Amino acid sequence: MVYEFRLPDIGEGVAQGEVVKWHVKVGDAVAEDQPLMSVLTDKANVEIPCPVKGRVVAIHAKEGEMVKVGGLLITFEAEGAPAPPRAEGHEAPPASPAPAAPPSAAAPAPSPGNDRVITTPSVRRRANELGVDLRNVKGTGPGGRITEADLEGFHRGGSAPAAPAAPAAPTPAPSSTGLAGRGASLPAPKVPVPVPSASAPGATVPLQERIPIRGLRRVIAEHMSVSKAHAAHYTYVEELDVSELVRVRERAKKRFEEKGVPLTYLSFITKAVVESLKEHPRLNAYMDDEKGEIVVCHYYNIGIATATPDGLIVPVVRDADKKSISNIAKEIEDLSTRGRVGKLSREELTGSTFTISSLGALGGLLATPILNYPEVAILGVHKIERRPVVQSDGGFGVAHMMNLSISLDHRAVDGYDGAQFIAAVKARLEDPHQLLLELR
Amino acid sequence: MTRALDVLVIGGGPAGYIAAARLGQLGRKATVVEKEHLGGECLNRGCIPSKALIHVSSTYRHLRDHGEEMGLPIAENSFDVGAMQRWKTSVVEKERKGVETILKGNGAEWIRGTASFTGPDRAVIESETGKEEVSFQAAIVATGGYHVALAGMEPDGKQILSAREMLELDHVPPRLVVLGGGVSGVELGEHYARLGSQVVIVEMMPQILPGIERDLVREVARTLEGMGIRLLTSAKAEGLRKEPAGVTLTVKTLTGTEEIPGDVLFMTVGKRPETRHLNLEVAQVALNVKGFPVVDDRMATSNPRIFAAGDFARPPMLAHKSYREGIVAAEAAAGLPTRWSHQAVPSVIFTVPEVASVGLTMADCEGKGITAREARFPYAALGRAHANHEEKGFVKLVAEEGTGLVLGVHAVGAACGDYISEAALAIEMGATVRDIAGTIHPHPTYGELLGEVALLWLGEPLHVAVRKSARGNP
Repeated sequence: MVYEFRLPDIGEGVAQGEVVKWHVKVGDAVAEDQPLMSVLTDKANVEIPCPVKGRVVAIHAKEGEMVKVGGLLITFEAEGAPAPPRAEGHEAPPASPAPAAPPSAAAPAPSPGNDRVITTPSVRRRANELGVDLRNVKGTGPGGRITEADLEGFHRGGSAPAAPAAPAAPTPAPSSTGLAGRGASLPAPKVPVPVPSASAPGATVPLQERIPIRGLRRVIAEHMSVSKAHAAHYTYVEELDVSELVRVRERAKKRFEEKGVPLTYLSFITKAVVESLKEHPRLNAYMDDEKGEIVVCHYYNIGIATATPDGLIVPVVRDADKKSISNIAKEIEDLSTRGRVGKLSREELTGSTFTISSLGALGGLLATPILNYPEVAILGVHKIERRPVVQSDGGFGVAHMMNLSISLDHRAVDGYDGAQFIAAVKARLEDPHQLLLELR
Repeated sequence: MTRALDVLVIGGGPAGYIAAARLGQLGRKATVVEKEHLGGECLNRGCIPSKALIHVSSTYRHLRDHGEEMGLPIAENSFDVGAMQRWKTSVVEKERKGVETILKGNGAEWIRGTASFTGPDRAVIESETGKEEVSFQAAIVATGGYHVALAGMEPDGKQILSAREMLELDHVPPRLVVLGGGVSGVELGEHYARLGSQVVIVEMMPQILPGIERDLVREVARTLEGMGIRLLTSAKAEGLRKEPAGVTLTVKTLTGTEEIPGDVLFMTVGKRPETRHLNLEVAQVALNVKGFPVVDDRMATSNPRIFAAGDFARPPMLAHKSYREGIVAAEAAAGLPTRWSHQAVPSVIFTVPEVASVGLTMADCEGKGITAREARFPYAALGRAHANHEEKGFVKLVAEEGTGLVLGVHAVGAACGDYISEAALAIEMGATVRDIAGTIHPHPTYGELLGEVALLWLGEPLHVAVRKSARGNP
């Protein structure tokens, strides 16, 4: 019988989802409960298992397409009817547990023979911690077994991933395709034709790779374009002497670490920002472009830009003015850990009033951050390093220096106000004792 | 007044209490809501009490059948069902206390009551002290499964019994009809047959213990039939008549219709995930077509705050699988990077002879396109099996041709449920047959069987068809 499968209501009150990936293709024989597809709704990626045993007849939604709840996704030629929801006869319930591994609803498709990852439970655990997909790691042990050293080497970038299944021959699109009938006079883009290099016999690395803009990448792309198109960005950079902050943190760090609190500079900076926002509320605001109003917020929800394997997300420390530096540190740690594995709720990812973007030890000299639209300010934090400085007595010295870059929406905040705000942040971070005295 | 909880754990069975313990280790606070005793079905009306009874009845039966020959004769019916029940209860109570200690030691709170969701991050807990509204950072649902019954044959506690009541009988029913030839039907049917019941096991599938390899089942079936149990397979229950003197089950077999009289009927046709009363829709937890929640490999449901574990989450419904899922769910709820990454889930059936299985069978390999080969070593070639007068059974090793990777071990015979762990480790570790053959297995133990079957697989058998007793003590 023909079985049509529509996008079920997968919760969170969402009305539509984006097809991220199909795990099956037309013609495939499918088993009940095998992974069928991944769907992205707002922020949650949901794996949908196959509802029937049978064969895939047609797929109605392409990867990357938005589908409404109830929208037709796939048609199966099902073997018999799907299992009835309730026990009606002797046959419905499974009478005994199957001896084999459980059909995991969202595990990667059951790997055929050669895909098997041979390793140990301890290496699997470590791989989970590092977020490494072991299928990409080449094992050097007997029978291709992945050792701890193989994993660590791969993670450090020491060994190349096992050769990915490269497309057999990357064929550039014929130059006329898609342009005919739409002004064929347009010159076709020159696509380099891959020529097997004589110097690397057997090398099949394609010269180009096309990565579809999908899922989180698409959210980021749209958000950034809207921001650049609407806000009147300008960026202001200041240099800070944070030698005293470094001393204060070094002294306190160990004590807090024993309690499990990673006392980061970011937590001090967040606190200094919040205290300074209280004096300069116009920067703790967002634009309501429809009404043509600036909405000044008297609560302090600080967005923390966080890199994840899938791309940038901005989890939010809520009511940061009511939290201590160590609590902020703990919360940022928790948010970023869960953020990296895609386990933040929608609530935790929305509602910021000001955003901080820190690249930590990596963070260069200056940046021109793009506003987290519709907010009016975003602060970029750069690395702390020792630099030669002219001291107040005219002599030379060495200090711990750090730069801050702030991007502002000139429609809401003039240069003078922005500079004053940064001066306030600078004063607090250069004299952290002042910051600590301000704490409740 | 809404109380803010850290992690709400619904269900205090193997998945729930282990999740609570792991959360405690991770510095999180679990609130466990359990309506009955801690330990769930496994501890209170499943694995543990049944093993306490099965151990006694199989010891009795072994001595009854072989005692005279082995020098420990035992009188017919020299068992005491009342004492057996007291023994079982003492074991269960000891274990329950143990679980309570585990929860306390990990800072978990136990509320005796039920919970149902009132929103994606809130629930109401009903207990003796009334209703309490709570919110939670995360929730782990581990409510287990419930036993289904055929329409019109629901357990009544007198003539139609559930597994729970079968474990509490204060007498041996003269005639027992078991409806459902799955694990608990066969285990408990055999238990009462050892004590003298006339037992009929009715199974709809062509073999008892569906899902287990046929040659393993054949070995068990031979023993069951040898002690007078009637196995009716490919048989469908059509109706049940209750009479003052007992019950009569009407069964349709391949050859016709038959009436099977009995004093009691044991209803054991299967389990479903316990999703009732939880209000999962409000919690935005989606279910799949089989009624299980949709979960990812971190045991997260469609609501990222809510995780599932154990029988509630997915089959197979095995306590040791539940433990592991409890750990994964707890770690995921605490925000740790974690994943279900086990290679195989072993399973054991506590019949005599015992059945144990882990990993792939030859049929599985064929389905997956893996070239594999199987070796089979008999208990009859093992010294210890003779010493214990338990010569029935065999062990099979499935390994990949060429690499020698161990893919599966399937056994029927004494103690296989214990030594199967070594096979599970081999599979998890990616061990080869040569690795097992190169490990010294102490003599004389049942564990030697794995070493021997590995040698046999390699074509280097040293003990097949040669009785150890004939070779002297090495």
